[in-house]
Amino acid sequence: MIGFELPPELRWPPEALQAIATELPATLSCRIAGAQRERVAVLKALADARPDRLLLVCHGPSSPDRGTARFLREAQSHCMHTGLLLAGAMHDTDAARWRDWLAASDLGSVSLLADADTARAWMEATQ
Amino acid sequence: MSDLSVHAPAPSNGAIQIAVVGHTNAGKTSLLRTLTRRASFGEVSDRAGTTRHVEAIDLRVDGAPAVRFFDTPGLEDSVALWDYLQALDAPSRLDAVRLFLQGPEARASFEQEAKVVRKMLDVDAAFYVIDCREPVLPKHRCEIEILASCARPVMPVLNFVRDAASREAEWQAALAASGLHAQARFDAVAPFVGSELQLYQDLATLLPALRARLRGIAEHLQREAAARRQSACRAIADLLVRLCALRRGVPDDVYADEARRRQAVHDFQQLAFGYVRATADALLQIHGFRDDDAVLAQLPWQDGRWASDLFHPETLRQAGKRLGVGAAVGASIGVAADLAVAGVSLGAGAALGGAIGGIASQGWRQFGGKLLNRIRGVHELTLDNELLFLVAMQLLGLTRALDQRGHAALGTLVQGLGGNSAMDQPLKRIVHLLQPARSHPEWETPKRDSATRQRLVDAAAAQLDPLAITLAP
Repeated sequence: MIGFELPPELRWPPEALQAIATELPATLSCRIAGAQRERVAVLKALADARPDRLLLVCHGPSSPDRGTARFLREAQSHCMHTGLLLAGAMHDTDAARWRDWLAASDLGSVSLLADADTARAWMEATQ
Repeated sequence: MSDLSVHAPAPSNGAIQIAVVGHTNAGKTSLLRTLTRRASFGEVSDRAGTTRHVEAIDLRVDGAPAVRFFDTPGLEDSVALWDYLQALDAPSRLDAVRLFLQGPEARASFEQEAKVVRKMLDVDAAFYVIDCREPVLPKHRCEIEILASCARPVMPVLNFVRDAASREAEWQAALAASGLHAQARFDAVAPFVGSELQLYQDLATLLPALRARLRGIAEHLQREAAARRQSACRAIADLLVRLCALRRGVPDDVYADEARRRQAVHDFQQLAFGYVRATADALLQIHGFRDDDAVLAQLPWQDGRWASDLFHPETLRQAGKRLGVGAAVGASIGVAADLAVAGVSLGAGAALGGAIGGIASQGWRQFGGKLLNRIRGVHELTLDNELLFLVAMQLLGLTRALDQRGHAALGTLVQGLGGNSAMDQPLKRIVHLLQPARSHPEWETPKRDSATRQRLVDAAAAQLDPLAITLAP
C-alpha cells in the first residue's frame, strides 16, 4: 500500500485502511512525496517483496501525469494485481479524469477503486 | 553557466518572446487566453495533458506583434528528466540541457519535455505557471531545477491564488528558496483589477533591457481598456435611448380583448428584450468574447431566464424603490399592477395611472402624445423608467464583469439588483436625462439618426462611463 505524491496534511494511511496496515503484518505501507530516491527505494522494496496486490493511493484533485504513469508502470511489473485509490477533497469530474488517463496510458489493467472501503475489500480479497 | 550570447533569442519581428511553461493543467492555455483576449485560443480542458505542441500567439500593439507567447505542453515527467540531466556528463547545467536535446531521449520518453526545454533556450523569458492549489512536491522542485538549468529569466505566475485551497505561502517560500523571488499573482479565470499591468511591470524587473517596451505595452493595454469601456458605454446609451423612445400602438379591439391585449404586451416585452440582448452580445464582442462561443451557452440570456427576470414585477418594484419614483408606480392603478405587464405602461389605463404616477415621480413621464392617442382611440405601450434603470444597471454590471473576466471561463455574468446603491443616484440622473426620447418614437431606430439623438446618446454615454470602471477591491 503506497501513498504517492499526497498533500502533506492527508492522514496516512487513510482511515478505512488503517486496520489493514496494522493487522496484517505482511502489508507494506508507506507514503512517498515522489523524489527520485524515494521512487527507487520503493520500487526496490516491491521487486524484493513481489506482493500479490499493490494499492497505490494518489491525490484525486491533482492532474495525473506521465511521471505517475512511469512509476505506476514500473511498480505494476512487480505485482500480480494493481489498484488505484484516489484521496483528498474530490470534485465530481476527478474520478473520470483518472479513469480516462489510465485507459490512455496503457494502464487499463489497473483497477480504479471507488472508495477506501472498496479498496479494503479489494486488498483483503486474497488475504 | 556557459556563454549565453550563443543562444541569444531569435528575432521575431521585434516581439518579446515569452515561453509559458508549467506542470500539466496548471492553466497555461487559460493564462494566454486571458492575456491575449482570445477566448478561442488552444484547447482548455480538465483532461490531463491537453496541449501537445508548442503554439505561438501574439499580443499585438498598434497592429504589430509586441509579445509573442509560446504555449507549451505540460512538464509531466520532471523527476525522471532531472535525474537524467544530473547523470549526464556535462560541464554545466545548460550544457547538460543541450546534450539532452541532442540525445535519443529527447525523441523518446522525454519528447514532450524536450519541446518545452528547446523553446526555453529560444526565448527572452518564461512564465512558469503554477496551480497554487497543488502541494509543493518533489516533481515541482525538479521542474524548477530544469527551468533554471535553461538559463533564462523565469517569472513564476501563481494561478488560482484566490481559491480556498490555495497554498500560496508554501509556493512563495519554495520559489524563493530556489532564487525565484520575483513572482506574479494572476488568476487566469478571474483576474483581479490591475493584475495584468502588474504582470508586465514584474516582468520588467527580470528584463531590465526591455523595460521601456514593456511599459509601452502596459500603457497600450490601459488605452485599450478605456476604449473598450467607452464603446460599451456608447452601446448601452444607444440602447437606453432606443428603449425610452420605444412605443407601439394597440388598437381598440385588441385592447378590449384580454387575451389579445396580454399577447400584445408580451410581444412588446420580447421586442424590448431583443434590443437588450443584442446590446449584451455587442458588449461581448467589444470585450473579445464571441457570442457563439460554447462557454457562453451558460449565460442567462440564452434560455429566456433573463427576460423573465428583467420583467419580473418584484424586481421592478425594487428598482422603482431605488429609483425613487414613489412606491405607487402603477402598483395601485389597475392595469399596471397586472403581473403580466410589469415594466410596461399600457394604454388608457396606464395613461391615467401614468398621470398619477407622473405627479408622484416629479413629472418624468410625458403624456402629451399618449393623451392625444387616447383621444384618437389608440392605446400605446411604452417602457417604464424602472425598466430603463434595471437595464442600465445590469448591462453596466455585465461590462464590469467582462472587463474583469478572464477569457478562459465564463460563469453567470448578469447580476440581479443587489448591493452597490452608490450607483442609484447617477443612474437616476441618466434616466432623467433620457426622458426627451419619450417624445421621439423615431429614435427607436438609429438609422433615422438625428444630431439631437446623437447628442443625447453622447451625453448618456459620458455619464455611464465612470460607472463602468472596475475599481480595485
